[in-house]
Amino acid sequence: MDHEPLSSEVMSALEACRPGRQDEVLPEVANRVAQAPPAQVARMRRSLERVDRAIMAAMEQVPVPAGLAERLLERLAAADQGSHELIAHEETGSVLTCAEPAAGRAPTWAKPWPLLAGGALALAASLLIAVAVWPRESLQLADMQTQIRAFYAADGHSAAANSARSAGGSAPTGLGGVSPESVVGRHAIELFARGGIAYELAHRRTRGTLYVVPLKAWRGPTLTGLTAIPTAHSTSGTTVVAWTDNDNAYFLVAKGDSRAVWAFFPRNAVS
Amino acid sequence: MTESRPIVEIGQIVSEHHAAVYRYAFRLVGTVCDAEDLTQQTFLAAHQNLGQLREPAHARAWLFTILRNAYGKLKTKRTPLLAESYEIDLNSVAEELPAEPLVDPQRLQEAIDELPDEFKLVVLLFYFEGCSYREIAERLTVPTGTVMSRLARAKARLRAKLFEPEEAPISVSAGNE
Repeated sequence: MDHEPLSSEVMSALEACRPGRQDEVLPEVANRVAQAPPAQVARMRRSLERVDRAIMAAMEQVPVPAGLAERLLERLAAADQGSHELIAHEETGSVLTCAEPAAGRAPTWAKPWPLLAGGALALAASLLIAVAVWPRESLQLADMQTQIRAFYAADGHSAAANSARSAGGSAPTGLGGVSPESVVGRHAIELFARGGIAYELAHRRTRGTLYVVPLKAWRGPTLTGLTAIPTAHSTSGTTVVAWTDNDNAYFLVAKGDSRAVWAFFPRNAVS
Repeated sequence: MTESRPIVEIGQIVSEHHAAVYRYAFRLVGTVCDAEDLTQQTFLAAHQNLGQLREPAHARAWLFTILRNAYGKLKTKRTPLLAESYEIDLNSVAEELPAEPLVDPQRLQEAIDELPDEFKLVVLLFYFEGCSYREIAERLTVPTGTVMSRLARAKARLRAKLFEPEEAPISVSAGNE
């Protein structure tokens, strides 16, 4: 009888064998397993195979969200249209590259970005309060607002048309009128206890972050004064824009003045 | 002389592999939103680098490689549990394994989520991609002995979570591989 437990060395070798394969004949495994009684090894191998097969089957049991393929194709089509921006972004060290970043090539904009992103939530929160008390006439970017209005009127788009589309049942995916070509990354976030999405934006050398938060069951400050027209405020070299489409609140934070923010809206809105 | 390379359509790749990529992504990150985000990043990178795919039959493995690279970049934003501090005594793992194992996919995900990234990747390469320990060593560029050690400890940890009523003893120490 072989009641002695198998050593960790033998166990490591057996654990490395895949079910249904002849991995036990490989030298690293065979040398280790040779130390143990063959019958005990065979019994353990059979047990491990049974469990491994069950885990392999369970690994595949993940429900795929409805419409995932369509959303991916839409995003790829948008990337095609904005391929120039994407290629330029890759050259500066994008996360959207297949290969690991080349050693010694530091991203040209990724380093200051965490600092901006870190302050973005605080800025967005401040803006929520700010837009509630500021009369629109006092804002500096009346020309931009006019252009955005023109865009909505002329292009047939509306904020509602770009409203949130549920991803996974809870997170919004609408861009609120921001050009999809500008989007180079996406992350789940939480703002005022609501799940949302932060989109990383890039247009030439301008970088920004668009925070999209669903208004349903909003637990943040009252959003009185937040309108469908993007309203901007620039301070300390950073511009924040806020607007809503009644489904989501949108907060766009960009480094630079108001012209930087405008870069993220469709070009035909400028003309 | 012209180079004959099979024409690969990104639409076809999405259609054929989006489910597998999403499932793999979900097992890596553990949430629907993050998994979809990672899937999107994977296909965007694939789209940009489609010329690298020389053999359409290898599209799945190629996409999984892109997925792992994208995940590797994401994980740097989190506080990782270091593999060196994650020790499990293999001699304490019971030899008696369930005769007819039933695996709860949700519990499996919880067990995967608790693994340090170094272990998680090894486990998914083994179970999801069906890689041998040698292939895993090549893809992660680590020695085969390290792969065998990580694989054994990670699998023992998964079983402890999945099949044992009480977790196997885990000691936190300066481990060795």
